[in-house]
Amino acid sequence: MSLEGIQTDNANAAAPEYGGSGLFDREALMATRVRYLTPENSAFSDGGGCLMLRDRETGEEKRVILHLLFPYNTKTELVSVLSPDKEEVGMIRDIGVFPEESLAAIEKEIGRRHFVRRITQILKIKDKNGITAWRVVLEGGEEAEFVLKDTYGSIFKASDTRLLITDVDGNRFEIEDVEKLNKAGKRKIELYL
Amino acid sequence: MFSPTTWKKNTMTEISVLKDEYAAILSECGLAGEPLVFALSDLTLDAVPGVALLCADNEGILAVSGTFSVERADDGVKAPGRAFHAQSVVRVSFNDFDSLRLEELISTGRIVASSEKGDRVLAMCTFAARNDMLLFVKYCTKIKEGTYRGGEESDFSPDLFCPTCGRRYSNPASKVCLYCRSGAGIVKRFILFAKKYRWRIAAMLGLLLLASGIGVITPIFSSTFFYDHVLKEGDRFYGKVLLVVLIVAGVEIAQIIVNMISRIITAKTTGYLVYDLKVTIFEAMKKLSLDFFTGRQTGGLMTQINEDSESIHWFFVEGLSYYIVNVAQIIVISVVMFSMQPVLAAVCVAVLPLFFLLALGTLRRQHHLHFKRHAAARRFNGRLTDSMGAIKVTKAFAMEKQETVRFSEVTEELAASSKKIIIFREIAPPGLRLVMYLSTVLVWLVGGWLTIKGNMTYGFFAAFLAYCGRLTSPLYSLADMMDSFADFSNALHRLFEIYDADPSVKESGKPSEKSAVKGEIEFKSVCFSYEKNRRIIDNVSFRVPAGGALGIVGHSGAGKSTIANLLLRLYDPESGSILIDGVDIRDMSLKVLRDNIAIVSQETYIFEGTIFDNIAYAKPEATREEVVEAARLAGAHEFIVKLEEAYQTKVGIGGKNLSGGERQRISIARAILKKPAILVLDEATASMDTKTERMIQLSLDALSENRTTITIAHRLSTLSGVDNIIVIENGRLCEEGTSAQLLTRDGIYKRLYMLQIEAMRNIIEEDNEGHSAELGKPYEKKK
Repeated sequence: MSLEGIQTDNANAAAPEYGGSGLFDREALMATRVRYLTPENSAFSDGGGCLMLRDRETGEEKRVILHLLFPYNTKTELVSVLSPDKEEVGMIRDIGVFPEESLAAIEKEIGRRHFVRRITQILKIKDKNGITAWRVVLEGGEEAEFVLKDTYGSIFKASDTRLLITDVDGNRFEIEDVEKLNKAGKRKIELYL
Repeated sequence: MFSPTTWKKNTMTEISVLKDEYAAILSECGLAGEPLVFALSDLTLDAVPGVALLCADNEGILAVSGTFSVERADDGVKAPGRAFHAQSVVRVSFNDFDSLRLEELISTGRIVASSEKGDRVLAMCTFAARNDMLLFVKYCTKIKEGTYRGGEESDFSPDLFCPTCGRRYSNPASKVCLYCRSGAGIVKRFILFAKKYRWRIAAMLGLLLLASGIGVITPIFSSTFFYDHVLKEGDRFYGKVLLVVLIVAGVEIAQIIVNMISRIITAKTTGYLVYDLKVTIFEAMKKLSLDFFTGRQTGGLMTQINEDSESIHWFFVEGLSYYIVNVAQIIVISVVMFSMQPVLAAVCVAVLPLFFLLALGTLRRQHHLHFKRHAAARRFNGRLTDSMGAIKVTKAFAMEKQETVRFSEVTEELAASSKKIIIFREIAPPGLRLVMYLSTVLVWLVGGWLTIKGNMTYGFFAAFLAYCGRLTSPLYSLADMMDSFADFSNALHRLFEIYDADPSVKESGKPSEKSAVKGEIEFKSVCFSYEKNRRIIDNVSFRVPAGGALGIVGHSGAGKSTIANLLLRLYDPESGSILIDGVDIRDMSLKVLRDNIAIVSQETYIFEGTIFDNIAYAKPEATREEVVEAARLAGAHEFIVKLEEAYQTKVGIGGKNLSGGERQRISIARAILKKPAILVLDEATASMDTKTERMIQLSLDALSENRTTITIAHRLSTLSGVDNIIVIENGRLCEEGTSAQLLTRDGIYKRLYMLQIEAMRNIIEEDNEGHSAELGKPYEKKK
């Protein structure tokens, strides 16, 4: 593993001397420093169901996975770029700075990784002694059914009005604004908030 | 090209049903060979909801993703059938890739074929199709390896599917379909639970009914009999006022006595019943798997056991008797009133349907409000437990004010929800009373008119009015008690929620009869995830002979401790099996399994009690000498003798505070006392100073003699004496061998070894510098 090519915001800051010491310091240092990926050093492309990263400096191309660091707040800022083995390759501060082709590929990959179905209406919530069976209408009008095993633990309040629901299989659903649900739907869900 | 019409004749493994339209699409997209495995997924490669058809033949895999659209005729009328719009067609030969896997993302997965050239994504799925995709990967891997022999019965056994909806069980061991699970009436469930107290309850109800029956007699003597016979000149009872007074007083006294006996029986029965309910729920909780507790706040569970049991207790003592009495009174008085004057009785009960309709609405609303209040109470208790547990950190960071704000939020929420209940309790019952008052007014109007007309006597009318009052009174009480009933049914609901929860780790129906084990351990292709999207153990296989010693090494979070959790059956693997002496641990009784394994981990727990109690926890019948011997071997005796009360020193909550090392030594003594066939040391000495660590290490070495030992460590120094080492990285077993063998390879073990040697060298260098400073050189802080 080499430290060559590692960039930080301020190359002079937090750069202790590690000459002379070996693997231990290098490993520790690697874990504490961040390589920011920018249009100058990186380009992204769609690899057919996955994302490819090309290092502009070395010309090397490899498959990467994206991971939103603040998935409830932003889908464009502070995105971690990981190798398929989940080792961090670098970080993107703001995906918006990348040119159109890279940006489209990045957005597609974020969509794949953070896939979520949006709920627009709650038709029924049947509580069977703690396990709740939900019938909802999704964005686009399709109806869906799912089950929550630990209902309270499965609903995450991303904000005062935005809810994220994870069903018993791990599928994710989102209610963008609970206030926009109809009155009957709101009454059904308010018991579990 | 292969014709889809012949597909049905072959012995293909249909993980999903291969409809004709799917067969036609696959055929059009170029599937040429005999299809062997078919599965259907639900996402396109760009994660758009649609379909992905996956089919494997002898040559490779064809994956077609796309969406369907409804075909419409020009006139806009829906035409039969739908059109498929392919977005991607991926064909890979089995020779083109080395391995196939389901890569799990947050809530989706993708099937990836990997080779030296890189990865190729074949299809995507949501987690709804995850199990099917895992099967597809499994069968394709078998085809590639040449071991495919068709679909395996164990993957398609009818036992794995819900007979009602056809869905695959999310936990095949529990055989409970969460979609089709019955939510049987909670009161009905409680009645079944209380069945064993039926005679006590029957006596309680009998006496209550007797008391209410006696109550019905009083107006006959105090009104009709008094006005129409005692005060009527010429009647044979004329002037016998004392007789009436004595009868009425006697009836009232009889009612009081019956009520008293009834209350004593009620108190006793309720006491037993609530005690039984608490113990039953606690036992049910203990049977639940670890994941139930890790997914819940302790404060919330405490609320459930304490407050909910109290609500039930209160309802029984204060509520149920009134309910029974009131309902009985309403029925009896209605019958009496109809027999006395049907027209007036009909006028009186005319408003009852309206009353009950409004009462039902009130009950629903109160149920809703209590449900909300409980959720707020749960959050309140959870936050309180959280804050109290973190008090040291809070103080260290001077965050008392912020914690108060955090606490105020949940307190405010609880207060608001309680306030709503109180307000509604004040508004709803008077509203219902008003409705019933309408009935009294109507009886006055009609009854007065009938009396004036001479259709009935004044005494009769007065008696009827008294009955009318006796009818409305229990109805008023019912209205007042709606709230307690709502609270009771809510509490029952939550308690049965725990009672009904299915443990994910289930005891085998016919456990192996073996009670002692030799200690041979084998992990066979074990996979496990705590959460659906994060594989913690990935296809791990290893074997430890009986009496052997295995070291497990890896970075923090690599999945080492999970292996110990799986061996103890704190969790069950998703796939693969774990064998002890050749028997699947799922076929062993949990008691036998856990009696034969002792674990010493970093997490120690000291129960409230003496040091003796804590060591003897693993073997309650242990003698004092045995406990002292175990403590000596664990290096605990050394500090215990320095305590005033020695082995009878109180520890745990409210007792003496023990250091991390002392607690650890007690937990080691516990394990030593158990004398298990299998010993698991999970970073057992990680929190100790070097001297203590060395001392305990020697004890542990003695303890592990003639026992199968698994030592989990990231400090390689603790692995001396192990026969074999496995290295776990990201849940996968990536290296295996003796320490010497592993050091010859340029792998993770060697890297860890070098890192630790180097860390030690750095410490020695710093020590040398410090030593030089002491000898007179100016000391400079190392930059």
